[in-house]
Amino acid sequence: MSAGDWKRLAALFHGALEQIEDARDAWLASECEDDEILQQVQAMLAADAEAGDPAEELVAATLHDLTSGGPGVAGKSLGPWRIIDELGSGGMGSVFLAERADDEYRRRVALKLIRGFPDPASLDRLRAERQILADLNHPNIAAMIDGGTTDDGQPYLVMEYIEGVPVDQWCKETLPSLRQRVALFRLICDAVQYAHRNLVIHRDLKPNNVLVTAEGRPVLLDFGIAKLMQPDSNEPDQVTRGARYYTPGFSSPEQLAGAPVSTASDVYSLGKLFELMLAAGRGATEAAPQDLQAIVARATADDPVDRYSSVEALAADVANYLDGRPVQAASRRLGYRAWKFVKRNRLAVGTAAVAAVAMLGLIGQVVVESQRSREAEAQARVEAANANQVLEFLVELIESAAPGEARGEDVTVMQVLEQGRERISAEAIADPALRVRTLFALGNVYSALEVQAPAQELLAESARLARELGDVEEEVRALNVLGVSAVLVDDRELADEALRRAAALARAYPDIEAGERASAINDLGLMMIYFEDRQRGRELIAEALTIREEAGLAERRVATSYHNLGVAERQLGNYREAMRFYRKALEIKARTIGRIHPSYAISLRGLGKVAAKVGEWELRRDSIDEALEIRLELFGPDAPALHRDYKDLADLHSDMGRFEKAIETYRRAMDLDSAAVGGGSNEWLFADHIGTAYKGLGLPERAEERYRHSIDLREARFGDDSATTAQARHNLAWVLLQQGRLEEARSIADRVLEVRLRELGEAHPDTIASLLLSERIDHAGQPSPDRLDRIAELISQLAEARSENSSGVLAARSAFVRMLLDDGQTERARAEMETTIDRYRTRLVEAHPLAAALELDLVRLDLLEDRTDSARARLEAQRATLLEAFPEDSRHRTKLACLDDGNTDPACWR
Amino acid sequence: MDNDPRQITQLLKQWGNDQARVREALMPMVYEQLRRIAARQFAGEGGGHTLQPTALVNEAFLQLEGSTLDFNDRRHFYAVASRTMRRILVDHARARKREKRGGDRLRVTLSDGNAVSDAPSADLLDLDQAMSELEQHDERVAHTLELSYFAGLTREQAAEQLDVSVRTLDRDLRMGRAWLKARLA
Repeated sequence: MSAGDWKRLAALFHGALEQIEDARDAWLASECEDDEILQQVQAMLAADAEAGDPAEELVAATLHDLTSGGPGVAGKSLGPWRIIDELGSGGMGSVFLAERADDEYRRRVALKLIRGFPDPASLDRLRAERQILADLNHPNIAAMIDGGTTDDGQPYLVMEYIEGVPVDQWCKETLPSLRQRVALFRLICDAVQYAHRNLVIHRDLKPNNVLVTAEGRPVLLDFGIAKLMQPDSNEPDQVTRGARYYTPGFSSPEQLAGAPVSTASDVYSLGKLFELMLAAGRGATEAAPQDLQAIVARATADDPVDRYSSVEALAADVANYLDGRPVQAASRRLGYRAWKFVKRNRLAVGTAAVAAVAMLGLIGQVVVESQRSREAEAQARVEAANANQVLEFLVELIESAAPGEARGEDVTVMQVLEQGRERISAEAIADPALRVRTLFALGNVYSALEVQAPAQELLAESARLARELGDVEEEVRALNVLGVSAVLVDDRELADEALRRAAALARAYPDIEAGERASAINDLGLMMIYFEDRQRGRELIAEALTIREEAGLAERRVATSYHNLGVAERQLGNYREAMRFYRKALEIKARTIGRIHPSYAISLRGLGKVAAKVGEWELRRDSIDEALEIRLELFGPDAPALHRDYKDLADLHSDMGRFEKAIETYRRAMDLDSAAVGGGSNEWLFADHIGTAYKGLGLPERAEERYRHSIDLREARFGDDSATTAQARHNLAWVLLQQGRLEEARSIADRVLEVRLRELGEAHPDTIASLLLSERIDHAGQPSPDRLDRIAELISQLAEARSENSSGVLAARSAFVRMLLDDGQTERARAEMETTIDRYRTRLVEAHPLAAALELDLVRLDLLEDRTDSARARLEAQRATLLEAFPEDSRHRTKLACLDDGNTDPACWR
Repeated sequence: MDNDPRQITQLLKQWGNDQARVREALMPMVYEQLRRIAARQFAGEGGGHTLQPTALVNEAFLQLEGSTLDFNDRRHFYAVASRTMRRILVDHARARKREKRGGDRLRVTLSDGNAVSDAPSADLLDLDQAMSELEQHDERVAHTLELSYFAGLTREQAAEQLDVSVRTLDRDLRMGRAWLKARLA
């Protein structure tokens, strides 16, 4: 199978999965003519639909086989014992259910055997366990019956077989009273106490090691990692240091830390066990009595000093409770427990639940308002507009409330929405006008949560019904949101249809409320920008602004238009204009809705983006910081919505040469994005930017990988010939050039240039950057002084469109001076280098690693001119920065090593 | 032997120098470390639990921590560990196959009783081969599966490891699984 076939196979497989099941075969038949590939995809789809994963099972079975000595031992014999079944197995052996082969009354036993790895330590351990068990004789500890050695000299253990269930399960199944639970726990304490008196620490107390028999007798099992205390030690509290065994949730903090373990560790595990026993099978509302909670809290204190001094003391306090005496633990640490409770329950009372409730309230409110609106139309319009604002805000809240790990919370919100849908479909809303509005409200919520399929269904229905009723305004409103929803899923056809009709209606019916009319035209404009008809988009947005201003709409709405104009101008490459519009939007928003609002933060982010383009780094940093501060305050630190802010921050790190920090921050942004409802949709963006950070680190191969990934995603999302896809291709061509792969670089760069000339026009800064890159590739293949002049000219043009301080221009200048140097124009090269280094340092940041990297070119120049002392001094001055900023396999580090050896030939590092 | 975790840490720090060499040097150490932990883990678990690759690999990593490992070191470690785990299991499956043909004597003397069920391990070699084939088609998908099966990484961990989003990872996983299942069917 060729690489192309594989790509095709992947596309067909994922494509088919997006079809509904019944339509897959037909879809595949229409998409694929190659029979072999078709069969392969169908086999894969069939495999995908099947439950289970044979590979996972194979791995598990082999691991099991490896660590237990092999399958299928049932029926085999060991000494007098015949194996019936395997009870369990682990890293080096197994526990079997066995019976005496010659036994008349068939006594059943548990047989523990080490096989598999011949590890001396585990052999020692089994011998130790045998020794320990031989000394323990207690009704609540599983007794040893026999111990033996195989012909090969490997020890095995035969123990009393306990037919019982783990203690937590027993509590759940038999639902004993609280008093019975406490009494049972008391017996377990006695057994542990007995072990301690015999100088044995169990070290692994957990439900699976405490079984309860049908008669209700608790039995302690598995002293496999138990430890004998040294009886002749002078230490008052016997401690022992062992390897790090632990069970999350039951092992003590000191055990987790690998610190010495004492009897206090068993006290801790008992406390955890008790806590579980008290809760198992009881409702969340049936909290254990405070006295018992106090006992648990004291037994499980983080610091061993704060715990009961011994199991005896713990058992005594439990007895206090059973006898109705005051419990020792209750007098202490109330604050601690309160804090613990809050900590434990904070998530449960968190924002997701609140937001879900608020959402229900909101739907109700919209319904009520719509009912009222028939009596007081005008009044209701105002309130509905307000409700939309509330909605915007709520939706971001819900988004921020979906914690990455507990994605179950999303379900809660979705359940609320599903209920809403049911409420509409029922005959409950017979009134068609009310139905229009409710459909709209629900569709709006789905859309804002980016669950677009039901959103579009609801909104289309709302629009259709409104049209039937002749309510143009409601139709426009539904079409607006429907169109935006379609844009978000790249459904151009639907977006175009909905938004064009909305805009046409808005123009044809001047008595539609001005805000709605302006939105229709504005949204069509945004669609145009998104689908890359930027010029027309800007005109429409300006038209919407005029409507908003003339109608004397709330200033906040006017501000939105200014913001959108900023977006349009930025896309058109008119950065100064864009900045002006963003500032204007910010000024109005600050006055009307205040700084601490998502909308204000969005305009700040826009301003920050343009600032980067024109090299206004201080403004950029301030904008990012302020936006992040606002959104942190609004949403808290783990909100998925913050992925945008962290991306901005990462961009800034990258521009300032903190590349590793940038990659880390991009990853954080990507994780947050993945955690959003319907998340992970911005990876096309992150992959490209991470690539650029790798490029900065001097790792072009790594960068290439990321760029290619981004290109794949962009192609799928925006199409092959979009300017957005071209952006990532441009970056790819750059790193290919760096790697000397000129043919590949040239064909990609040509394609990018073609797209940019067509989509952006020849004056756009990105087009200039493309022309520049093409010249550089040509120069690399066939150097000529004419080309160098053209390159210099294009860099000047780019600097004029952006700024001398933008990172793109600085990178272009760095590349240029290296060409000059290769060309032997040493004087000019030196002057340009010094200027560029100075710009990095004074305009970006003093210790910019790329300035240090350029210093290496000065070193090379010095060496070429035999100024060895100067070269040496420079090298030493930059060494620390270079070692700190670039990883070992970076091109910059290789170059450093070459120059250290006095090697000035670029072939050494390129 | 007790120095292994420290040696592994030191080697991870040299990753940038010569990946191939460092990887080759690391594998036997990680092999030994995983093997040792597998042996120990059993003592901690007792009966009732089936050992998972993830427990092994995570414990191996925990033994390294406390030193100066950073984000990249962790990535490199998991890359080596998943590959090593695969090799351990393949070696075992091979040995088992030889044994079935009358090779090594069982380490523990068990007198023969009733039927012995078929050893499943032979199929792991098929899996190994299929995964090598997959790697020829699509390296990233193959690595995704390797991390998932042999290191038991969670989706989030694997995504971080491979520098892709969880969404991409899910797609790769689904594609790779289906391909493997179809291939092994």
